[in-house]
Amino acid sequence: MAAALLGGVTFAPAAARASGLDAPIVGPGDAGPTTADAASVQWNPAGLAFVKRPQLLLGAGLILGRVTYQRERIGRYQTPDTFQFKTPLDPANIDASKTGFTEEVGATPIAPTGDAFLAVPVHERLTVGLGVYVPHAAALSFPADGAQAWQLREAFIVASFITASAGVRLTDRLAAGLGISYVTGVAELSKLQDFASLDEFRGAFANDPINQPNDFGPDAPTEVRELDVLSRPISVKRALSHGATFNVGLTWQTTDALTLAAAYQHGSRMRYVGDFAIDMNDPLFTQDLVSQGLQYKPLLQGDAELTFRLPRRITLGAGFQASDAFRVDGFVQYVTYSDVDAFVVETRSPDLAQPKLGIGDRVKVRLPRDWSDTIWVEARAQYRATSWMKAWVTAGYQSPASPDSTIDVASPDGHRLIGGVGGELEVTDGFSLLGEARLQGILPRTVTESDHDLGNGTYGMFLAALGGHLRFKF
Amino acid sequence: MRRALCLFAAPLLAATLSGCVTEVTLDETPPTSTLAVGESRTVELRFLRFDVEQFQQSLTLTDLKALPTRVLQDTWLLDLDMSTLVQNALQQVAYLPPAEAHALAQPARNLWKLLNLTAESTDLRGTRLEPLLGVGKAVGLPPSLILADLAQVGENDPLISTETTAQAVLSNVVATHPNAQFRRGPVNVDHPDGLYLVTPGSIPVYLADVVDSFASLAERFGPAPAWEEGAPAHPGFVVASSPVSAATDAFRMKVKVNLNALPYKGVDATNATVASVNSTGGQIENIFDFDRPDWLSLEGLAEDLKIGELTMAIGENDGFLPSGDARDPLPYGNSPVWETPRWEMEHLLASAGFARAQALTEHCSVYAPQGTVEEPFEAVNVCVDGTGWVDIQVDPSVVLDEPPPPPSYFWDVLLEVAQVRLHDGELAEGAADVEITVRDVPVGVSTETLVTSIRDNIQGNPSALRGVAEQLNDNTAGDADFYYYQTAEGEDFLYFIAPEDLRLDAEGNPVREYGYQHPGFYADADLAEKISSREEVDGDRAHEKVAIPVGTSLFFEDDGGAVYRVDAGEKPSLHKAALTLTRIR
Repeated sequence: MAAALLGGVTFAPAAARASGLDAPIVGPGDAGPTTADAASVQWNPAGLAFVKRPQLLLGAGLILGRVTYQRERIGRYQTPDTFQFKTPLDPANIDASKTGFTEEVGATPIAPTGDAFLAVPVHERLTVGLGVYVPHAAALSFPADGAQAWQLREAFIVASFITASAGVRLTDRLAAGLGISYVTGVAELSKLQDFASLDEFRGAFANDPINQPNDFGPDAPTEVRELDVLSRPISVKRALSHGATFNVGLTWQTTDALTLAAAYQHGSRMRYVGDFAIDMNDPLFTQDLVSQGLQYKPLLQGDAELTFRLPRRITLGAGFQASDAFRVDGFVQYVTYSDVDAFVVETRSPDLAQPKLGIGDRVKVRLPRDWSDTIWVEARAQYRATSWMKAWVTAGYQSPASPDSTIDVASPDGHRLIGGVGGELEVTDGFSLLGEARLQGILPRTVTESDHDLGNGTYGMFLAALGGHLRFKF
Repeated sequence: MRRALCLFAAPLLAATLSGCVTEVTLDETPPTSTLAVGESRTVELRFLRFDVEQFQQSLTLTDLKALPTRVLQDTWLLDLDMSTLVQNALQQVAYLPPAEAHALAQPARNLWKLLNLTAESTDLRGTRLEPLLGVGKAVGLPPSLILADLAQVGENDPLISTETTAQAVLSNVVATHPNAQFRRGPVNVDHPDGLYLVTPGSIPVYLADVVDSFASLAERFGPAPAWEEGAPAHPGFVVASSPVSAATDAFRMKVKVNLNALPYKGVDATNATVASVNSTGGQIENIFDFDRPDWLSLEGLAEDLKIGELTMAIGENDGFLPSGDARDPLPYGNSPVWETPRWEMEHLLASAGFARAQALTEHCSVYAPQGTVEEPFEAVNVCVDGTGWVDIQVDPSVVLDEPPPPPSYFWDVLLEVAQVRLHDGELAEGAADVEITVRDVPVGVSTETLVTSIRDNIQGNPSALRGVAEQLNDNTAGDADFYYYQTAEGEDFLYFIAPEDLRLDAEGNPVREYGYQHPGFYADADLAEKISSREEVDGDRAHEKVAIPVGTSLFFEDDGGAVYRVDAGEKPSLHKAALTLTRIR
């Protein structure tokens, strides 16, 4: 049963892939699917084919954020220090104070970021590239005793790509590119796991020898959730993932002024393997029901493995050089987050086994997510003021992946508005300084249809990314 | 900053990442050292209910065997009526073919004769009835006719039926055995010594008997000291017994209960640690739903309960006990047999005779001599009155070698006859102790009766299953001095520990003595003013208890003689209590 609670944490790494927690900045601000620079490794490897000189991009930045959540309890709850496991609730056990809005909680992530891209023409038609970058990241720390604790206390989730690419010009104006990526990730998180939501827990109580019909399980009503004794702190640590994926792209310089691009980023099966620890140090689990076959160690530890697929991305872009000084770029990206319908987690530990209750040392759990495909549109206007300086402004929008039914504080997702400014200063012919400020925020999102009242409330998120790159051309 | 470093390092140093998210560890363990005088510690207790309904436990023989012996031995199921068993055993002896009977030891052979004693087979020689032989000879009547008429039976009918004898055995031998007088049971207000009366003529059957096939029958019903000091020990009546398989391999004992399965949380004041007290016993009166037929089922009990081989013994008095010759003292007369222990053979025989006499109607039998005697000539007049007093009158005209037998009670007549017959074979007085071995004796109780009896008994006294129930829900931990209880109305109480709350060892015995000199709670450190009582709360009358609204201060003494003050602080939540313990001395 304890193993099953890992099912409850699987959403967190997934959330790192949700649009709400995409890293706000990857590569220099003037890069995109239609541009030709070293950052094409990430955007569209076909763009590499139009890189004329070897190029190195080294970037660093700082991400500042503020994620807020004010939970609204719409359901009915029982007093947390009771243990009624079957509705209807005894009126004496109804917690009249547990309703409405709770105190707002917030997380203020501050994190550095960085990337490095290299493009080297090896032939007049062939350029190879290499990139190391972090397209997905999240670092959240909410109060341990906040109303969101059953969703998340802390999370640190990163997915990094190391990509080797090649772009080849098929004709003077048409190029194709391919990139092969090694994807590595790390996930750590902590939360309060509500055992009432676990199917294994329902079964353990419903079947021999306890034989008590109960309302526990994934569809448990609010009346039996968030009880003190069943809310067990859990952490997942050192969960590492290794995978591979690829991207391909086409770039077509239709005219000297107009460039069209199409890119496809394949998904990847991520398999995070790490450790979990659960505080089971409550007499209910350690001693009071031993005769019924329930006895855990006070601190339960073991291996956790969670698997899911990274979504696929299809990007269509266009860039138009309106004049020598003015250029506009834009793209539309379609992300198949609907690939993520659920997450599967398997936990292993000899200490999990409760033979009398039919629980083995290995439990596999499926957690529905039911995410939606998303659209990301973004446009950029770029103006070269002098031969050594240019500037740009960016505006964009990302649609949310998480539906109201499954959203929670680990994935503060919503309609995201994006804006940014940046500029490049060419110090020498071979060396430029680039800087950008990029802001993102979701429109305040109030949710009232969260499954089981887990994620109802008002979400807010604002991210600011300040970054700079050094561009070397050789 | 740490998180920032993590993020920065992640792409390249993922394998070495650690510490970015706080890892779950256990809270610091509260101190468990002995509370020093003057030291205070605060303990939080909760009253958590895990109310299970129709919670079923199915126990096989193997499961039962795993229970502590003490629990099995203390779990009373029923009082088994021994009348049929005793009667069956006596009948088996009585119906032995002569050839087999003659192969018995002399005392057993004599018993066989006694059980088959008829007026016809009665040998009056050497008894006070011997003059009847002369009477018969003088008037031409067979003495057996006189004896049969006296006993109101045919000349070849048993003078005392095996039923009557069996009843006498039950009353005098079985029912006088200490272990057939009282049985063990839960200690409570009504039974402070834990002893319960056994139905007379029955033996108590415990769960242990079902589990071990009555292996302890000979031990329990062999020689045993009396309950009363100074009273003679009972010699027992079971010498040996083969196993009695009451349960088959398919045995299942299923109980369904409604209860709060969680223990009460209390405090071991010695070190101010939280301990658990099994709550099952406190709920035992209410855990069974007797309105449902499936609250208890017993499957796989033996269909025909019988004893493969049973050796019973009845000892005799070491001396010859003369029959009485006076009416007083009523109702038995003056034979010294009535002063002997009831389980001795002579007393048993006298009792059987007395019981037999109760079936007689007041009557007189008049006998005329055979031949040509003018009527009416009442040569012999044998009368028995309503008290069983027998008077044999012989007309003076009848010439006798010796006077007719003196008047006496009917049982005195039989006692003498029986005593003499018991020593046939030239057995000396004291050498006629009888041991009889019978085989394949039906106990005489159907499975249905067994089940019904057990169900009825437990329904009438649910606490009989307390020990088993507590073992099935064994969750006592630590050695609490008191525990926290909350009523349905939300009132908080502290219950002082009672003897039945003590933690048990693997054998089912308490791990510690109940050494509390001043159980309960007091208003002062000198323990002069008790503020707790056993007043009933939610059906509990076994515990000293006191309500503890916030702000309450009270004192108590633990089993080591240390005195503590308890202060009830602000409640952490609805079903919790915060108590600060301070050791006073």
